[in-house]
Amino acid sequence: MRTHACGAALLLLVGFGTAATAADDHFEKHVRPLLVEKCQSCHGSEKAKGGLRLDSGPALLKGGDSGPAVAPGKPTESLLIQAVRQTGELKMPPKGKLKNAEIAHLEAWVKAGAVWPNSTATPSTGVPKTTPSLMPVEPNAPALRGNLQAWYRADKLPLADGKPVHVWPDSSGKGRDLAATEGVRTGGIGKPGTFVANGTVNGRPAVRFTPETGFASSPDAPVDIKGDAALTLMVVVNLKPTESQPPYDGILCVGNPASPGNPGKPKAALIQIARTSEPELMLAGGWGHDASLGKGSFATLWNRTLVLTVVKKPGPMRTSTKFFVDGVPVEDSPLKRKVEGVDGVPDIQHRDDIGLYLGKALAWSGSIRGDVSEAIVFNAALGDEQRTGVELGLMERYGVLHPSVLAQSKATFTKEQKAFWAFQPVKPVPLPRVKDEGWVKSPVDRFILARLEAAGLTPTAPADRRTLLRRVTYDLTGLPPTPEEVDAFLKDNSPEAFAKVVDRLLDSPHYGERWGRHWLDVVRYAETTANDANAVMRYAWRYRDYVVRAFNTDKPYDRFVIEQLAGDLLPPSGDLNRDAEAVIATGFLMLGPKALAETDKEQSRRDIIDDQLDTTGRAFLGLTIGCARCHDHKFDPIPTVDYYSLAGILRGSEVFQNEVRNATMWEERTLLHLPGEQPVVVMAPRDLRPTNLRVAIRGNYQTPGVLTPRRFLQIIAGEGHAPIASVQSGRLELAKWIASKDNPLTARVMVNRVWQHHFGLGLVATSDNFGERGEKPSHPELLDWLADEFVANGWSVKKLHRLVVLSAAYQTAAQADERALKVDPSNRLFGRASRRRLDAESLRDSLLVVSGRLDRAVGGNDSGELLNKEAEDIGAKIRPNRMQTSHPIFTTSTRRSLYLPVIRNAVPDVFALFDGADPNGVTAVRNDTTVASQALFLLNHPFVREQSLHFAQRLLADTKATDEQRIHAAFRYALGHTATPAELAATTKFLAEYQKRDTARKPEEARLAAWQSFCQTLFCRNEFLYLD
Amino acid sequence: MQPQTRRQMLGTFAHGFGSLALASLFADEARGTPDATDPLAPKPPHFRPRAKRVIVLFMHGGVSHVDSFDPKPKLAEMNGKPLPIAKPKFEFAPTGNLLASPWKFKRHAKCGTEVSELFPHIGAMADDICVIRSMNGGNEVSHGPAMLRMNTGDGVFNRPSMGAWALYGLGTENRDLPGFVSFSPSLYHGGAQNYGSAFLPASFQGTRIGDGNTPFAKATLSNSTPADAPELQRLQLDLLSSANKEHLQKTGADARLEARIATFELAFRMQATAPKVFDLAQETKDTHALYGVGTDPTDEFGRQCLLARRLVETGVRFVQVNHGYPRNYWDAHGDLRNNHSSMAKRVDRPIAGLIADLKQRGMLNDTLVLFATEFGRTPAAQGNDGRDHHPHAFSMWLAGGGVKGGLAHGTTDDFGYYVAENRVTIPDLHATILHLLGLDHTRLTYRHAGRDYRLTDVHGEVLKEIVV
Repeated sequence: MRTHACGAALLLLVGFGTAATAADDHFEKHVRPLLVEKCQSCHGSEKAKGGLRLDSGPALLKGGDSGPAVAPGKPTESLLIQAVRQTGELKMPPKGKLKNAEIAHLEAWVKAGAVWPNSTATPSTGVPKTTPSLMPVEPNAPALRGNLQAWYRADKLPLADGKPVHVWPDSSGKGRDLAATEGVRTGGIGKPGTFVANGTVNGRPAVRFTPETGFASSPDAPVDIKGDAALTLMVVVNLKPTESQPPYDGILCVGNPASPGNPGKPKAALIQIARTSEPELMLAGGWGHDASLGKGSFATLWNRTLVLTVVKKPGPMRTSTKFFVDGVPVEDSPLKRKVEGVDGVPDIQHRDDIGLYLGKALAWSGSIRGDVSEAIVFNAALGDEQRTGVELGLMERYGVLHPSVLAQSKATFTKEQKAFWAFQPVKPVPLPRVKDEGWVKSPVDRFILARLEAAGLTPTAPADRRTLLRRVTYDLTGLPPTPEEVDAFLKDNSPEAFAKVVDRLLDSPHYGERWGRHWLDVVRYAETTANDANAVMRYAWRYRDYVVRAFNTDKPYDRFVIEQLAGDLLPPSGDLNRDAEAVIATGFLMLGPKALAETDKEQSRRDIIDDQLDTTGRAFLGLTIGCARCHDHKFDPIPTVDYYSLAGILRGSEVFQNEVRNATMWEERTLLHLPGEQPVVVMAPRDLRPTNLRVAIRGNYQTPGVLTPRRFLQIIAGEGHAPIASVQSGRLELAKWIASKDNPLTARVMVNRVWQHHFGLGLVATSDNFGERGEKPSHPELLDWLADEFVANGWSVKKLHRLVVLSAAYQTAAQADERALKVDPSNRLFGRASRRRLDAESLRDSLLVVSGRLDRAVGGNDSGELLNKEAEDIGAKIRPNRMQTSHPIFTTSTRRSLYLPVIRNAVPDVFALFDGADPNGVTAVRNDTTVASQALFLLNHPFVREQSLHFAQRLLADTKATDEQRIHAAFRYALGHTATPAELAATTKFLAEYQKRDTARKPEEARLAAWQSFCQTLFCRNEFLYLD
Repeated sequence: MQPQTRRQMLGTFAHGFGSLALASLFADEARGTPDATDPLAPKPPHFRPRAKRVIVLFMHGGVSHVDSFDPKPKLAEMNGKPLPIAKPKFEFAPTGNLLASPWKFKRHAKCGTEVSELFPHIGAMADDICVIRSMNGGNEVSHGPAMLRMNTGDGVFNRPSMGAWALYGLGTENRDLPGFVSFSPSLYHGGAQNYGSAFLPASFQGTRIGDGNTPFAKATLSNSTPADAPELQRLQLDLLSSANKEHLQKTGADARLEARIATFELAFRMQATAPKVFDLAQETKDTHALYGVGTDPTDEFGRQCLLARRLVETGVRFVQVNHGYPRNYWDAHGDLRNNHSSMAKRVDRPIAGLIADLKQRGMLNDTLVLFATEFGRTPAAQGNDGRDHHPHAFSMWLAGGGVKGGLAHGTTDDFGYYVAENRVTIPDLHATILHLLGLDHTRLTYRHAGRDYRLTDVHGEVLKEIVV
């Protein structure tokens, strides 16, 4: 059991910039609860014995009758500590003594300054948590039923897409079904409309009207609206400009609008578009009696989803009529219209030949062109609350935002929250001045050196060239340098020698494989679905190859982000291959674990979205957005409304093939099918329609809270910023917002990842969490400078690599002097290189390189096809994985590791034992463990033995060489240098001794076995396993 | 050059660097912090433990509670009649009318706990067993999520398994063997996730021996079969060792490099130890008979139970013995009688033998044995003669390790549909297991993605009533 000193060491070990968070943790965990439990009953808000309260920072400092309770930084001089130590007169608590550990915590806290944090754990975002008092109301709700006269819903039509609508039933229960009037009613000539399943009303079902379309209800059941009776009309439409003959295009008419030859008194209430030179929307009473929104008003309302409400109280048309567009009175809406018109009091009458009608129903009437989804008639002038209730329901049904939605989901952040470092825009950073200019090779070095100098340290000497070459080759390609590459570099004494190596490595296709694999860690890449079925995703590999290509072609990172989130929504570029790439990229959204057994359809979509959001947040933004699924984020300014704003965007796309039924098969699409070639089938989402979600209280969608608009994180985009207006799901807008140079996180997060993989530790150590509970950057200015350069360089990752590895800081040795170890034990100042163990893939790949067996082919469908072939064929598309980790492929394949099948919950030993990424979740930082099972693997696993054998055979194949030469060759292949005299002697001795003792084998076999054994030890050496 | 101390070197690791550094300073927190050079080193628990080791006997597929440990005479009375109360909202598939149990229940031992004819031998051990009849697995009606929930605490998210948490909290006593072992786990329904470490460091993951598809007789510890004659391997290790030591001279002291050197020696020892531990021929004939080894149909499970005893005896912390898909499966959607009958015959004697054996060796007191399944089965019939998945009420039992024997905790309604008294959720069970191991489930936490996770997440109450 280790023992640790506390107190002083606390400050020493806490990294730069982390003191506040760690100390707050300590206070919340060990000090506050202690004070609450053991002290505050006598020294709190109820009682203040001795005049002392211990329930706030100021109170402690003020103290009581005996003076201040604490002297910050000086436990021995603090009354509080003296009292709990109970060595003097004052003994607290009076009945008993605190445990030693508790006393130690108080002492440590006082020593560290007795800081009492201001904020409590949950930052307030000012967003109301409770359900709103305004909830949607259906038109036939009990309170409204009596006044409901007619209600038509396109989404209730039992028709297939494209079929004619002859009858439109009345959902109000009042029996006022509509029928196309053609040949049915006296003088009726309205033709049937057409049912469209995905109409222009935000993709929802609608009846499509042309200027000829017209429906009417039977005159035998006229609406109960006569004379100057009050009424409320509501329609949900998307209207187009029209060209019909009559002087108006009618939408919905109650009563008799009179006829051109009979100007008489108007006897109707008709929503129409008056076709003056600048068409107006109006409620017309007939000739010359109307309430109009004025000239040109129609143009402001066409070609969009429109929820229009007209409320008329008894009285003159103009002054008694109110219009509402999307729930907002027209006077207050962006339209800023005043109701104009002519005053006359209507006298609504009904005709014998026709009831209420929609569109064109009579010879002289005209129809609008457009989509009508819903129409409602009440015989009352609904008050604001009732009207809003119905509008809320309509707007939610058709994906339109009610103004209350914005108010209800607007966050109010504190100054502190807004000032958090990660949300500040990246600004150009001036380069720091340093004393030792001679050391500086790249601007990066200035930042590193400035801090080292401030700490009184000097950077370690440069690494020797062999070490440096090995390090950069692994960093950039995940493979060891060949002996030829080593020789070439050692011979090249030009100043650009290293830069040339870097260029060579960046140009190698193996670079994309290496950095592609880093990316696959972050996006939870796998080829099976996990959970119950662990079904095979046969085409997941296409995404993997896309990622490799993206890095190899140095695809600009912002484009990389956009393609993964919304590649399917990008406009066609004219280049088929480029477009296909963009769609393949959306595999990012499709790859998560899926519980196919989930019987609740909505639940399964919500779980998929949660995986998508969690991954998107941590991969691109370094934010744990997933935490806000059930409640406001406890630490970061991400209210739960923001989670649902984003979730709505994702809910607008479908991952499964059947939208209506439960989760079965996910979407697959054939992109290209060139003759004579295999079709390119990919996993990609299908964009549906704009969708707004309600907050799911405690994460349960069956207890909905406030409706949220589709938009971005408010802490970055602004409190209450305008929602996305897209008529698609909004994913493209989201992608662009994330990939914007103005997003404070995106560039920083990527730059940090690159730094992490080159230095073993990020500038922000928690590379998937830049939030409050993540680590602060060790070098904030450097981080920002790199982010700024990254964007300025067109988001080029390869240029970023150069900036980093061509620095002097990257090229230092791993050794450290005594002083550096003392002042900076964890190397946060990057004054030296960090020794790192080879990761799982590099280890396996290295064995293959050294044994001479590596198949260097790039990409391909082997993994997907193999999984598919092995999968249990139950006759359906969903094929549960059958492949086990014992499958020979994992031992016999000679391809690079990233091409082996990635099966969730079945990771082969070589990856599982060496801290490979768990494909079930995001892995931003891999562990680096040292356990005996790794040693067992290296000693006994058939793969290692086989590569050792091939390695030995490779050496022995050179029949002309001496054993000494072979030994040197072995060292060169494995470690990059020839054997030292001591190594040579030891190896020679070993080979001899082995063969002598190996009595079981024949001499020739024993010789090979001895070499195999020796080769194996090269693989087991620390020098091989670790990168200096 | 000053050697890096362990503490300094701890700082270089990328598992929760900042908080790790701070946490490592305080003794009680350090308990929960893996030492990166020796993560499996034994650590003291939070308080005095009752159990030092755990054996989980996992019956995969769903053991019907009303046919095993929860007698429901009402079912016999109302056989064929519809359930008079509302069926649960969440069911796997529709079911029909009530189905009486094909088996009779009998009172056993001194305590008189009722156990069905399916488990006569386990029944005879009733005085050592605490049956929990009021298990409630939430709404997990499918195998995968239910298995994952039982094993890791959550049916959907990726969480570490019970055994991984136990290792994380306590380390293991026998460094020559893995600390957490899983026998014959099914590859389905969560597969390796059921004994995985999720976001905990990989050193805490369970080691699989065999799998659900393979007969257990040939199972050994992975990679423990020496690839070369031990004598020759010794030569190899000596060469390796001297090369590494020389390398260390050049690099200077480095705790990780030193630790790795040690792992090879440890591996060499493990190679020697494992076959000995796995060699059941070392046990007496009487012991074999006790476990049913050598006889059909108890041989396989008997071997597994006997091996489990041997492993924990040598200091392995957590052993899970799986009776699982596809070769052993309790998922009786149809043909309940034959299914449960044949499954029970395979495990009844071996399990009783295990308890008896632990007892006679004085190990039962500090070895926790858990008989688990992922859910129960519907009292109403599926088809003519089957029962469907039923997480709303089911039975499990515990023995040893500080658990009161001869007890039946919790009750269900007359039909076995819903819990009536003393509902035990899976977090409650987990909290109790950790408690028996001397760990406070609320304090055994790990910082990941910005928050402190624990096996019980934000739930769980220790069942104090069943603890001695």
